[in-house]
Amino acid sequence: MNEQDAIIHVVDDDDAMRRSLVYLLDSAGWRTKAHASGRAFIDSYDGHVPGCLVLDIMMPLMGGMEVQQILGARTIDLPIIFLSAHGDLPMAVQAMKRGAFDFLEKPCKDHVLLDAVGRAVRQSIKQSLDQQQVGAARKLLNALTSREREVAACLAAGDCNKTIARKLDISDKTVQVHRHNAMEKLQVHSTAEIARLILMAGEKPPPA
Amino acid sequence: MPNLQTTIFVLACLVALAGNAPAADARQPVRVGVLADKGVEAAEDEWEYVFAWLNRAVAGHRFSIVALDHPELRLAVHEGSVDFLITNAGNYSEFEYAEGVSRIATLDSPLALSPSLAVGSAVVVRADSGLTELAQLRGKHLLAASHDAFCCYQIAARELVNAGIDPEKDLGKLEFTGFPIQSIARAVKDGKADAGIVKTCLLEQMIDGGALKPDELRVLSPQEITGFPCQTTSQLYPDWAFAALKGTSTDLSRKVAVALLEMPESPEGYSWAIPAHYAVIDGLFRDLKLGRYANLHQETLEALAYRYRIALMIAAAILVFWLIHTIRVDTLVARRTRELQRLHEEQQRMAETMRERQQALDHAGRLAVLGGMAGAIAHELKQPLAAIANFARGIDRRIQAGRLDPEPLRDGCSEIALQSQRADATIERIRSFARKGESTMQAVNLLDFVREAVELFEVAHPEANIHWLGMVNQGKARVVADPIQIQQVTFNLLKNAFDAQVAKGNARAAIEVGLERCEQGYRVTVCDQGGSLREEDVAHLFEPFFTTKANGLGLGLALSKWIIDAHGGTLTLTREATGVCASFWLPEEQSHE
Repeated sequence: MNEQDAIIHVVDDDDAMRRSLVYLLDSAGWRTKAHASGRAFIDSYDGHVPGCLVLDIMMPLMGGMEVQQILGARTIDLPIIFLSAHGDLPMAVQAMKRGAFDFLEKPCKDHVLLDAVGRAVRQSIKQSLDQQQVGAARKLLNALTSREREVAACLAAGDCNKTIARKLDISDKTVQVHRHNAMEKLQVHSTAEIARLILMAGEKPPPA
Repeated sequence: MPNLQTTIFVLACLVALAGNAPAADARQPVRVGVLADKGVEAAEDEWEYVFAWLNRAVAGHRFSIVALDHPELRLAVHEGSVDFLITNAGNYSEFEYAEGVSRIATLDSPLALSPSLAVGSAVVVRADSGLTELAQLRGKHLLAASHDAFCCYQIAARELVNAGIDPEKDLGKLEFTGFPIQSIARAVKDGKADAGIVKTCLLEQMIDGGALKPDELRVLSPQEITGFPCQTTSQLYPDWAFAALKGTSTDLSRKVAVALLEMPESPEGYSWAIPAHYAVIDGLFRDLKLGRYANLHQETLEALAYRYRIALMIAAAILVFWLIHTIRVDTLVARRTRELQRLHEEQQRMAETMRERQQALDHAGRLAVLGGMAGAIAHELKQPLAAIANFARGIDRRIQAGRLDPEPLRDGCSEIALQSQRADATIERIRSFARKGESTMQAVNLLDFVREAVELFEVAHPEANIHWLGMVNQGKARVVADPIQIQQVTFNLLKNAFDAQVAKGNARAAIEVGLERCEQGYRVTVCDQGGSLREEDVAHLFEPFFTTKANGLGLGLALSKWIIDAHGGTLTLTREATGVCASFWLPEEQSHE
């Protein structure tokens, strides 16, 4: 996955503004997709391709803030660069608090916008990659039986076999078999690696 | 008419001479002028004896009597139409100085002390009068014979002057009765005057003759002069003079003088004596400012001022009053004029100020509407400008990156051109709207201008959803109005409606705009769905600077109301279930038919 694949979504109700933004981004080498309203964007966005959202904050019907709320509610993590013609500070603060990537005042210098877009895309890609790793870790962990997962969690917590046997009320032999199977399924060679996978998957280590 | 009188007189004389002179009479005629202040006949009677004697005593000459009054005598002497004259001392003295006549004899009267002390004035009053001295005559009624009368005015007048009374000014009344002087005495006796001036001895003669009783009249401040048988108020002066004119031959004069001195005493006791000394008359004339001293009347300014001090003071007072009055009036007029001018200027200035304010308000109205439009305008202008910048920089980046496909480059350029056109159109629209100008009231179709305002608003706010209901009733909406102001109001109401809906998150809701005919006029109504107003806000809506909007100036409705009021219309707001209906009503154009 690289920056050439990223899609920059431009949402502005003003045709000229929208077309000019698209033209500028296109000239800078970005792939773009234009939307005349927030609603049009939300309806068409699939959430799989990394990129960013260049969003006009003042639009009739559905304003930029509203679009941000809807995306947040859908846990869509697309970085949002707000464009505001009014430089409304309270609105900017609120947008940033809600996780906006940047807040630019129209008309902004092209390099400011393109710089923001570049950073946003990089973040999006990183997020996307992270997301893939988490998915992979979870997939591996999901392949374990429940007993194997329990044993793996204890291993990640640094327990030795004997402790695990006593904790889970099973024999040392059985712990060794589960440990072997789990490491095989998780494709790891050390307990440290197990701990990293579990952490990456976002699962809490079992209580000690 | 002295000339006419003179002419008549001369003619009369010539006729007399021609008629009376016998052809055989070779005697040289000698004309003797006689002062006849008692009348011609009296004079001829009086002097008959003298002339008879002269004609007898002076051989070769025929003396004729020419009785003349004062002016006639003066003229005759001046012209030399007489050879001699017989006149009183005062009159003689006057001629001596003025005409160079010279006395050859003085009358010697039986009552006179001497020819030099012969005649005086007696100022007589009633015996029961309270007057005792001349000074008391001030303000009284005094009778005299005439201004020229020596015995019966001038002599007494001098005494009055010496007593501190100017006879011509200080008396209550100075009345000249003429001759005979007996009438003066009678008038005083009858109480027709306070006092009278008569010749000395008249009183005594009248009492002797029985014309008066001794206790009826008395002489005022009488002087006792030893040997003089009569009471007198004045000093005594010489008696009448017989005088020769300058041109009369000395020989004749001597002959006449001798004849007069030789004349036997008349039956009444008159005779002629060596001429008296008349210098005493000079003093009298000087005191009275008569004769050669008449020019003494041309007094020094100081003396005049003193004499006329009361009149002068009154005149001065009147002058001062008049000056003060004039100045006061002038000042008042000037002040009134200034005040009026000031008032006029003030009114003009006020009118000017009002006009300027009106213009300013018109302009401010437009600016306020512009202020209301500012957001939209900024948006309208910022968008194309930002777009142009974006296209230009995009093109730049393509060139720098070596991506020189002509298609996208040309797209960018044509976009730039398009956007600059759009910006230009926006600016032009704003400028035509904001252009300052005087209110121009004209008969217009309200429908056209409301529709235009709606279209303008739709351009400025494309996201607004305006339902133009048009005119509910058919026909034209004829009103007299300033179309631009009415558009401002319509625009304002639309802006208020839209702002209310945006604030309520209801931007796309329909705003209904309609025009209907009602109450001899037309009503434009704008209804929004921006929620209702709070009761307490409704009362303040029309106040300047009252606003419920976050960024409003609070001038829109106040100005709208002002504009509509100025058009004789009404602006009203009504609260509806889902919003507010704002409407203005304008009276229809008055038909001229």
